[in-house]
Amino acid sequence: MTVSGISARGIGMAFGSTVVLDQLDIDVPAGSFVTLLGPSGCGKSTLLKILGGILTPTVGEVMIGDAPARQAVAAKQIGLVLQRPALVPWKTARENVAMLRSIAGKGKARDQAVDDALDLVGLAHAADRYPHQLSGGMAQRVSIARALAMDPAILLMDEPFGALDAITRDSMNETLASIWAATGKTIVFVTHSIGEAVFLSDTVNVMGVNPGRIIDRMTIDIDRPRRADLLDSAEFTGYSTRLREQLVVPQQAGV
Amino acid sequence: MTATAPARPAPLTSSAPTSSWRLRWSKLWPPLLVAVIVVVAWELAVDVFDVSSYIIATPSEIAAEIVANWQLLLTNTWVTTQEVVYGFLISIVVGVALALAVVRFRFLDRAIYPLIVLFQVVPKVALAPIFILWFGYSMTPKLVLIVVIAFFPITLNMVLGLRRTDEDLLLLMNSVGSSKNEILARIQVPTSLPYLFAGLRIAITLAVIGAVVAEFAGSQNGLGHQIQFASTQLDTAQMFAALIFVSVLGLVLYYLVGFVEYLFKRRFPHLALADV
Repeated sequence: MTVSGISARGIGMAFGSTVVLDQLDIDVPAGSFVTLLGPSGCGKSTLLKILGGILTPTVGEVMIGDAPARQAVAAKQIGLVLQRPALVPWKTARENVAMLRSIAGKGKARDQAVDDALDLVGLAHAADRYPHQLSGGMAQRVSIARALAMDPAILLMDEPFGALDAITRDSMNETLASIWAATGKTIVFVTHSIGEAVFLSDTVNVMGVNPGRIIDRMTIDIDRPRRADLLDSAEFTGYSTRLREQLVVPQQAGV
Repeated sequence: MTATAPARPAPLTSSAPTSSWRLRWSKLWPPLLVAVIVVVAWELAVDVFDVSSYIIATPSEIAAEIVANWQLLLTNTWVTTQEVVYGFLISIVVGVALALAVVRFRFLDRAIYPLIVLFQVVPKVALAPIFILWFGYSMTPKLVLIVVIAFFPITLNMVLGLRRTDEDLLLLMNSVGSSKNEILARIQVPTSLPYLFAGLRIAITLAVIGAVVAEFAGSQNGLGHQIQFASTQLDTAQMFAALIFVSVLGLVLYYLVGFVEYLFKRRFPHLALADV
């Protein structure tokens, strides 16, 4: 699958009379890791779905590659990872990964790509376990493998590690960084964790509330591969501090 | 701080593992004892107070009746069993089909589902004479009444189960452009099966009621007919004998459904976790 970028212009979204997103432009270069960072209720999940063509905005235009975003969904180019693993409880990890792939028409159930995806997330040994036999982190790895096995052009991740404990979260971040390096996928990642955003991203889009909009874009110029010890460096702390100022100050002013 | 060695665990002498038979027996004997006492008291009371035999028969008279009319009781039991089983199977087909249709098509959900629910205020037992009028003394009115009574808990439970789909899973399926039919077949139907079984347990008991009532209303055989006929003869012992056979039939069928459910859950243990 070719790697595509996303370009969105003049995005607005309203549910009834509630304006969730207003006049929003965003570019996601092909093969980049872009984060939407913001407080709850800023519409970052909504924006994520719009960028992937899963949700159609009230106004504005989203292009994935050269085609409207809607077509990317039809062409099964969108891989989705949500906060909850949402695995089918009566299927094993491997069957879960295979199911979405076969629905998307990208191959037979017992395919090398399924095992490769499980291998990539470090779960080859647990492929035959059922969801209730997996820890929260492992289940989320399966859900990432499920998205990867479809070989999508774009990987959308909606707070995928938000429900995990801090230790698991750090190791998941490292895994994701290496998966991104290995596959070169375009990843759009939603989070409310500043550290996670800095650690993973090429670009962080800081979002504000009422209505949801992008208040700042920050390019993270830290060399890759990034490792956990980066978290203590002055470089990392510098970015974190600047992002925190962006997020906290406007909120206090609004109160 | 004490320097003594940690206390050793008490030896496991008192509670040797009880065999499942002994466990079962310990649960079984109290109700059994009460039942025996009631039957004995019944027998004695009828004797002592000299109650006329067409008001109430003694257990010994009922037992004698069962022995004397064994063949007739079995024939009638077979008739009623057929009605219940066929009616129940049709109820499953109708109930499941309605549930799938209502969940799959929004229009049917809005147009038919309220009517199905509203229909439940009709005392369906009262429909029996109408069905006899329409379909005569054949098996048909029995089957129709059974279906009318028994499909609803099947539909209701299945709809509940079909609607208990994980929203996130739905979003994922939509993200790969899967059709409503695909989502129904791959996700919703498996999720609904444990609910369906709950509906079947209710439906089978209702099916027995439907068969007996339909036989009351008009028939030439079956246990319901036998009860009805015996009552016109003031043959209380025979009424009770047929009543016992209906009850045992209901019990056996109920446990049969439970057994099928047990086999199903053993075959697909992870489906049972679907609603967690």
